[in-house]
Amino acid sequence: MNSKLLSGAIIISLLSVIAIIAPLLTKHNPAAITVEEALLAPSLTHLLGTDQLGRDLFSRMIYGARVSLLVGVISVGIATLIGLFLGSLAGFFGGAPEGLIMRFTDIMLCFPAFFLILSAAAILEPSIFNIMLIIGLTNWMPAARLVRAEILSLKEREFILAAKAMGVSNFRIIIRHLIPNALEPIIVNATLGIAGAILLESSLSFLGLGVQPPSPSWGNILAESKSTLGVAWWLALFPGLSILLTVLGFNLLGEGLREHKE
Amino acid sequence: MFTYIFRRLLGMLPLLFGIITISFMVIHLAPGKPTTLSEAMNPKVSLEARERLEKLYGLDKPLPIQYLDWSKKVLTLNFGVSFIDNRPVIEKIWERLPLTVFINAASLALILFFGILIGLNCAKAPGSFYDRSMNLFVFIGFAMPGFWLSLLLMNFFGLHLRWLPISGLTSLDFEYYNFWEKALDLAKHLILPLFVSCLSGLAGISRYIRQNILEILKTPYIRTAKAKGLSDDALLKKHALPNALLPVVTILGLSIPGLIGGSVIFESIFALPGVGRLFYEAVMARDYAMIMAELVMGAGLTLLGNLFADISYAYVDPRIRYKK
Amino acid sequence: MGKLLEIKNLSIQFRHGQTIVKAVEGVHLDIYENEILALAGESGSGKSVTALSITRILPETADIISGQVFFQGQDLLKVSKAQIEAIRGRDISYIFQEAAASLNPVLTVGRQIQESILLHQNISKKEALNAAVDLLRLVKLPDPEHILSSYAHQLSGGMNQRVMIAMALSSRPKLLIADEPTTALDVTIEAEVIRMLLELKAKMKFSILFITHNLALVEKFTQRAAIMFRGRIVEQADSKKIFSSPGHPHTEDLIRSIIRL
Repeated sequence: MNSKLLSGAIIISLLSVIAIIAPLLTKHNPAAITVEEALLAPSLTHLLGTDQLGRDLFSRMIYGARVSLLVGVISVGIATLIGLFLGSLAGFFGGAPEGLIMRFTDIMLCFPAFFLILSAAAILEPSIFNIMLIIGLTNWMPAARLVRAEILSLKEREFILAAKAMGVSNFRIIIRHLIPNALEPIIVNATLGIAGAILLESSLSFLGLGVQPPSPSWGNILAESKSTLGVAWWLALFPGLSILLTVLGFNLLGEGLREHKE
Repeated sequence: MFTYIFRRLLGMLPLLFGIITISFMVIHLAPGKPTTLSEAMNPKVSLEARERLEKLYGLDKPLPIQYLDWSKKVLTLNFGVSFIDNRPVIEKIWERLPLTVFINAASLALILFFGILIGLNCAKAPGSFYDRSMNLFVFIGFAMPGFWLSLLLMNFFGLHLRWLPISGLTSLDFEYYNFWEKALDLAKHLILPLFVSCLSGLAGISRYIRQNILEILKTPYIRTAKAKGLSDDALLKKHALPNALLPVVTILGLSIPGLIGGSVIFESIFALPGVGRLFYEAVMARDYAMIMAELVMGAGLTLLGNLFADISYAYVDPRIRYKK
Repeated sequence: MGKLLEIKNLSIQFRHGQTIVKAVEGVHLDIYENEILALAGESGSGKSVTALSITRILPETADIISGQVFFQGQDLLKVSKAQIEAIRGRDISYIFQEAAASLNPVLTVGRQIQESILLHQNISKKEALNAAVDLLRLVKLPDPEHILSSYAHQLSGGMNQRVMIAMALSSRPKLLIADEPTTALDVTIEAEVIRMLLELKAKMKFSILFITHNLALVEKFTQRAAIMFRGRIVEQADSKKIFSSPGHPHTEDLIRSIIRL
């Protein structure tokens, strides 16, 4: 267990626990508007202060953690599934399907991901579900390339050839033999992918195209903090720090896993 | 060399075809006529925008005809007029493009310059204090949300210290300045956006150059150079660095889509009149004509960037330059 | 004949993470002026490591734990960095097994020879380039001007090794360390390169430390030989004698291995 893996694992498990037991951690309702308590600096009653509507920042942020983690995990889940599907088809069958799939991957990579995401966000409704879908559908390309490369190197190995000789079906070979053996780098890639997806979600929410107020997300809290810049430093500081820390945590976890395996 | 470039150009044709197809699919992502009450009530999918979209792309015609129309639009760069002010989309893009290209090119140059500097110094003494602090910087640079950093910098340098302007490209009385005042004014407005747009790329490139140099230091030709009596410094700069930089050209090419995508964020935050902000405004106003044009343009810029990187790579690597 | 170089009680180990591997243990070796000494043994026996330690160009993971290398009255393992850098390439130079990989792929051959010359001789760039042309003629490369502007990947293995020799001899060294210089070459090219080395040695009067795993070359080409086995020198004698009456079982193994071929 190296130090990167350890620190990443600690950060992420802590965050996950906070997100899961969020209601137990705060007595303030994240949506409760109390105008008299607007823009209070951090104190014992409001650990991280309040926003311009008097909502408690700490409770809004721990509910925001739920959004960030959920979007990160599910969108990367979608991307990884697509990557697994296309990558294993390409790697296993080769020939025309491979050419077609890899060319499609190249083309998708030509689009600046953020442009593609924004276009889709403009056309679809900005809801949490759509955000996850859009991020998933525009970020599967690295996973597909990785899976294909792994399968290419695995499929000539003896246990696969033996399985083929025994008449095991292609589908079964892919699902039962190839993918499980290619899992480690895929998990590393997915872990790093979650970091990227969380950054994307918060950027989108910041721009007003992601999670829509009044639902709290770190990105839209930061967007609202723009109007109180210079007045309420806590509104601009803490949500950003949380994003930084979460993304750092997943990056450390991913890098740590990669080094651990080597 | 010329056949190499020609082959590359030829290889781009299917990509161009793919770009047309995928952007065509994006148009069709648009939901049909509002079916539920909540959709109909939602001002964001305004009926008007929807109708203009249908008219612009002839969505009532058969699909093959629509596709041909769209291809023609892309190839002739005729993307219709903006829903916002009825000006030709392409005209608005041309106006804004130079600034974005300038910022991205400047970012690439800065990334390359500081990436080499940091990477080289880290490789000089791996495990040293400098190397380890740079490693920390790399991890933070990767995890840093650019928009948040922009906010903090604006807050600190703009509002708190009042050293730098926080938005726009020029000051109000810009036109009365002389040349040097103008240059200084532009620089002041651009320094924060450039810093933000460089950061994550710099983190990646500097680490990559470091790793690459350390690998190259193990090669036989470095041993030869050392056996000739070269100093460690000359070994690094004259023999290891040129080799380490070869793949960097390609990596910089690959980082172009990320940079262009990122310009939406910092151009919006710093209110810079580039194509990124134009795109953001179009998205907020559901100006589909502009959105589609920008999407195609973003992919086109990426394609051009990659071509440029390929050609540069061929030029700097004699093993490709002299291949018949 | 006087002693040119004297290696005393040399021990070297490698660090691989936590484990330490001994590569050379208590090696004594003398090289005389104007001789060809073979250092023979199977791969991994420590012969290359010994050779690289002479001018301290071992990889980072290697540590010299004891020993002295005397050359012109100085212990090369103790002299300053600047001093050893001045000796490398001027008094003691090397040629290696993979000539193509031993030349920098992005610099022209000419640049690399010129660089060698400029490092140790106080002449202009133009003069250095002319000297490089002469050196390429010396190693019998046709059309030297053209070769100067070529890159390693454009030349054959034999040509690259000649370039390496030209570069190594550019400052008229007293000792040339040839680390398996012909192993990667065809047999006919190998013979040409060795014949050329002999001619050059006769002309320019330097010693050669010839490192090889091939005892056939030892017999044909060298006067004395030291046989290494697992980091130690197990036998040291006249090359002819080593062949006719090997004194160590490992030497017999090495001889048998060439007869099998």
